[in-house]
Amino acid sequence: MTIVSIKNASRHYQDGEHLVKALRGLDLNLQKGEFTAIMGPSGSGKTTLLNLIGGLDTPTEGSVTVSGEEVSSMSKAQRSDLRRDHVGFIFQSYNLIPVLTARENTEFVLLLQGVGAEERRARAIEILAAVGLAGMEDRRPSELSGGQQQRVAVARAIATKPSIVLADEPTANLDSETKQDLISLMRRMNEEEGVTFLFSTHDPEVIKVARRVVRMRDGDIESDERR
Amino acid sequence: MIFRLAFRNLIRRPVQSFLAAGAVGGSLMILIATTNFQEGAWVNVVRDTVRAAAGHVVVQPLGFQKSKDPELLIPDSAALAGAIASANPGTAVIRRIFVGGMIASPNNSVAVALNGVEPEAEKAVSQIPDKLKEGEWLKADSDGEVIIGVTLAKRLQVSIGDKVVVTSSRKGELQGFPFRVAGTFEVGSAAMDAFFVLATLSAVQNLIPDVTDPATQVAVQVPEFEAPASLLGSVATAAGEGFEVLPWEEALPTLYNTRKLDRVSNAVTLGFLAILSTIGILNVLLMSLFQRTREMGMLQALGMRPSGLTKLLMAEGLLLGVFGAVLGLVLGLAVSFPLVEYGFDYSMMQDATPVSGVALDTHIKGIYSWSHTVVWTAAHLCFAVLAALWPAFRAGRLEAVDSLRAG
Repeated sequence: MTIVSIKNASRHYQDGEHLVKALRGLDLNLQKGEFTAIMGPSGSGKTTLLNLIGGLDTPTEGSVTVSGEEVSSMSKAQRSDLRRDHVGFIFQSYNLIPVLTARENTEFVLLLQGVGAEERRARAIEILAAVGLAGMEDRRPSELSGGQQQRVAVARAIATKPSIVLADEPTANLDSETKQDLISLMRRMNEEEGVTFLFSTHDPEVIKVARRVVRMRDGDIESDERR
Repeated sequence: MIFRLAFRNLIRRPVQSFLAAGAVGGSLMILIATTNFQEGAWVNVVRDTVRAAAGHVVVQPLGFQKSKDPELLIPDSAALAGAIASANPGTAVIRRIFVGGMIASPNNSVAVALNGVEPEAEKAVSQIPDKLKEGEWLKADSDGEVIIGVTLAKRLQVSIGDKVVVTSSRKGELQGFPFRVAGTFEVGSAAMDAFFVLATLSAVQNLIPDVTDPATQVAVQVPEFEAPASLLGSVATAAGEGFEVLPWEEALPTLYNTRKLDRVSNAVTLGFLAILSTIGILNVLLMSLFQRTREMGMLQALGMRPSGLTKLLMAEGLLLGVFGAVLGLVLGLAVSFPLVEYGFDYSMMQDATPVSGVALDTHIKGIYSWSHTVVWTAAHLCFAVLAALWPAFRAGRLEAVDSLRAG
């Protein structure tokens, strides 16, 4: 089942007097349950690609379809709804809401979906336990280590059972031990829960466990390797 | 959750939030305390002046209000007062006569305002009986006596029991009668203490031999601060044709307009203060928006709609307004308490100011003006919400992808 379908997508933007071609007519399909790593040098278009799939940005040309919905023709509010219901995000710098606890951060997207308080709470506690944070539900991000914060970010990303989780260099700020734990966690979520992951990464550890590796260069796909 | 998030966003920047809410609270405190004091002062002024210088409703000769011509008089005033009293049970009906004239002693003579009053009725409403320095207040049969101000007594070089002559011109003819000084008063107003003379109504009527039982004014008063709306019509019906029947607002236009002007100027000044205070909220929310741009982008990435960001900023503005309003309400009532309970005496700073011939009490007490308190509190909340509109609008316009790139 195709979760993401990108056809001839380009993304150009103006940087002063220069026209930057971040993506140049890229085609890509992602199937349900895939564990895909996108790698490439800085400026190759990895983050732009994730932004298009997540509806944070729209293509200058071409089409991006997520869960059967065409992103480029959506309004800002519709793209917000698409992210809320179908896309989970994990950022390099965790990006938790600093004033909310681990449980409240995990509940947040469920709240946006209109899930009732009791169900939200129960699901957040269950998922936090699944990512190894049982007993830390009431801690705020400032009271958690970097690895723990990223686990909360994973919990938040998968709490709504999204069609796809987009992770932008999720291990970049973690030490090796924490990194291994997080990779194992996401791999387990992929195998046990069937969550589809798409990473942008330079990390060989992530690339090593990926089932599919897409290499990008100059805004286009250089190679697409399935393992 | 929006309000929980908004609340926690505010307390993560406690100093800025406290200063913004404190500015609103301080402004509201000043507004509540000032208004309570001002309204209390006006209640005192209006009550004293309406009672002593007019009534809740006054009946006068046609044209008197405009011309103030002392030759315009109500004839058979007792019959008119009786008719009004029987049609309006529970009211006090008081007759007065105002005449210009001269008062002379063996040592000096001075132009004065001579007021003829019904001693017992006037005692209940006038401040002068309580301000006697020497002697006694007039009695019903004190036709040969006058009460004068202490400054006037000094000018005339007279004291209690001394003889003075009061003269007045009526249709070109001079009438004059001797009186003895029964008392001297000091109300604190230089003008009143130097130029007011009080005698009994019947004694002043003797200066006007061509009119039967004359009076310049028949005043109708109720025990309450405000008269019922029906009183004016009821008095007009009882008085019949041929008189001016006026509410106090028209009988004492200077007082009424001064109060109106004072209220308006106060509201404008204090309104500006309220608006200035809410600029603090605008500042805090704009700063917050700039500092949290990346966080706003992250909220959008999680699926919060642009309208959700708008609501979040509006909630933060509203909460700041509510904190400020609660703070201001508590402080405003706390500052009002001594002003209402004990008042403020400004006699050391200034003489009693006469308004419409009544020297105002220099000891002013505030009142709890709940209607103003509610209006000012609601206004501050509205201003706080208005101050949040621009930052909230900008938050709703943020592009997620740009926000996430912010530092």
